[in-house]
Amino acid sequence: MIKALVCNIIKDFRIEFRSKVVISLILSFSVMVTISIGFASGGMIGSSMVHAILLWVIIFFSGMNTAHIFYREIEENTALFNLMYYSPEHIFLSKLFVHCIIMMAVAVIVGLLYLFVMDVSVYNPLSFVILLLAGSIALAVCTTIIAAITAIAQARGGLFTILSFPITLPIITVAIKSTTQCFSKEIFSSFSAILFLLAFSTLLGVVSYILFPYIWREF
Amino acid sequence: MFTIKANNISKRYAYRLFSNISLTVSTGESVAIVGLNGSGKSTLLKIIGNIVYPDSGSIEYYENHGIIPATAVMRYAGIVAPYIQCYNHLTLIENINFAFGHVTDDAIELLQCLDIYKHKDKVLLTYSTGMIQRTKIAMALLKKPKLLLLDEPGSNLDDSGRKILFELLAQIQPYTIIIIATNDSREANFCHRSIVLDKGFSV
Amino acid sequence: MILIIVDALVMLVSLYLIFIWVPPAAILGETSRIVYLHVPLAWVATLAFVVAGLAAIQYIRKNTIICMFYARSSVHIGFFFSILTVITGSLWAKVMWGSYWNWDPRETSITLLLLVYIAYFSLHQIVRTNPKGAMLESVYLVIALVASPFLIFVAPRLYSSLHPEPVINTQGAILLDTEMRIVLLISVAAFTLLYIILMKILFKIHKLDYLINEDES
Repeated sequence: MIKALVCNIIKDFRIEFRSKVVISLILSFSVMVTISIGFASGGMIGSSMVHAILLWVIIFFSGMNTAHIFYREIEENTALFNLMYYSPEHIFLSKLFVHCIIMMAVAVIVGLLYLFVMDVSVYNPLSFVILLLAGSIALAVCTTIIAAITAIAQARGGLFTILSFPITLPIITVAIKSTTQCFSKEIFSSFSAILFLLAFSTLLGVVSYILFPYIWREF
Repeated sequence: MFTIKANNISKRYAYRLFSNISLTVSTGESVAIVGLNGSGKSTLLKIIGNIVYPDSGSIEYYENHGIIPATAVMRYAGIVAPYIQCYNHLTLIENINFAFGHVTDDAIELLQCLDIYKHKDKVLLTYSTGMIQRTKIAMALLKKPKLLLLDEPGSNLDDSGRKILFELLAQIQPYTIIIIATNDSREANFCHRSIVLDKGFSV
Repeated sequence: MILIIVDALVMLVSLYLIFIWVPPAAILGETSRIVYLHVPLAWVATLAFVVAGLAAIQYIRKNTIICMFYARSSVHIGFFFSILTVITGSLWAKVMWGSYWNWDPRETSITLLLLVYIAYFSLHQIVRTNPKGAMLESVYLVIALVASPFLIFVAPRLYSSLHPEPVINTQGAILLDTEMRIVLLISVAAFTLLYIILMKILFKIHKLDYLINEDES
């Protein structure tokens, strides 16, 4: 099992670093949007909540480009090739891991860029970092199977965002409310939020793992 | 001994492709599926490989008289087909490492036999279609499959490539089931028997 | 047919009880009568969603297309009832709190359910002709069903609500007067019967649609 996961993960990262599709899409999108917001607002947004909302909206929409990890398998006809050597469960877990890593990287890059461009002070840095990582992992876990669904439906464009949004809204809401505390001088009291994010993502991750083999077949 | 028993397989898409196809084949045997374009050769091959499900009928897989669940068949199968591509952004060696974890001496020998070993460190994007086809054949054979499904395996191969392909198939024939979907008479003649799909029925 | 007649009778009785028989609630006054429509509508919207999810699970297990007919019928009904819930809720909110929309957690949770339905319809439109379309829809419904308790039950309890539990229900128990309880239960029964009738009708429509498409192809 571990060997299968390692082989798949190495394969996915190798392909992503060579083709650079996901990386360039995400970086371009997040940089452009953050700078656009900074430019439009002139750095004059005062409210912690507005900063939290904008940050998580940019992370969410930047993350919508990660569906390419599944699109690529369908478009390049490699899905069956992969199934010849590994079970759908192995494929799902490896894609999930890759998706989580990419989303965490997105969250950290967007977070740092946002803080820099918008000149936001973080009063609870440790909690902020943990929230960024927990929120991005939760987003990745909840949207991995949705990415598979949209890839099999061969529907590029907005379908991934439309399907993901209702499922990830609890995550975004909780993350925004907790991030607001990090940006304000309040004492951080949202440790239950972090637990909620991890619990929600665990539950959806388990269900996705069970359901994935039913859709990742018959190509 | 690996055995496949297909009973009254039917499939339709927009139109009825074929119906009531029955087949029993065991290790050491080979079957050619022949027919006109659009007669369902590839679809029947996919059904046998449990890639696509039939609309009706059943297909069972046995290993040494013990039944194997259909979901496990891909583990035993090697498939060469236009709708299966290797990872083009990886090199040949990286594809083999992905699939098998490491490159064995047998693998090197096979790659040399197929005359693609000298390109082992180039990404597959730089390969010609003939070299890609040889790579797919190598990836399928390296699996030492109990069931080898070939969909137009000779396409894109030159004469030397075809010769090597038939030699390799003859070598593994005693240890595997070979099913070839083809319009090529040379490939069909390699097999012990044929299923001819004509107007939705086997003839 | 008998079911339709029974439901029509129960509905008529329910409407009589709501608008004529039951006394207005304390503090909320005559506007409280909308509760007897709003709550059953929300109940049916949630019930439809759960039934759709369960039918989807059964389709995934058994791969029988009949389960998908039930799932799709239930989604259509649930969508329609969600809209009605939002409308009745908004009207009541306007009267009680002065604006149609207050971002109350319960208002938001039913809207999230609506978003799930809209997302499902988008997926359905795109995968209608895809041989794996039914399986993709089923998987999405199951994912949404698993996520929904957080939307519908957890979220409203995390934050303070404008919904009248603090007024009608200060001890967190069902403390309606007997008359109110009777009317609410009869109304819920009437709308549930309506849901069953609509399910039967829509099931037949989806089945016919499927058979017609099969014949055409």
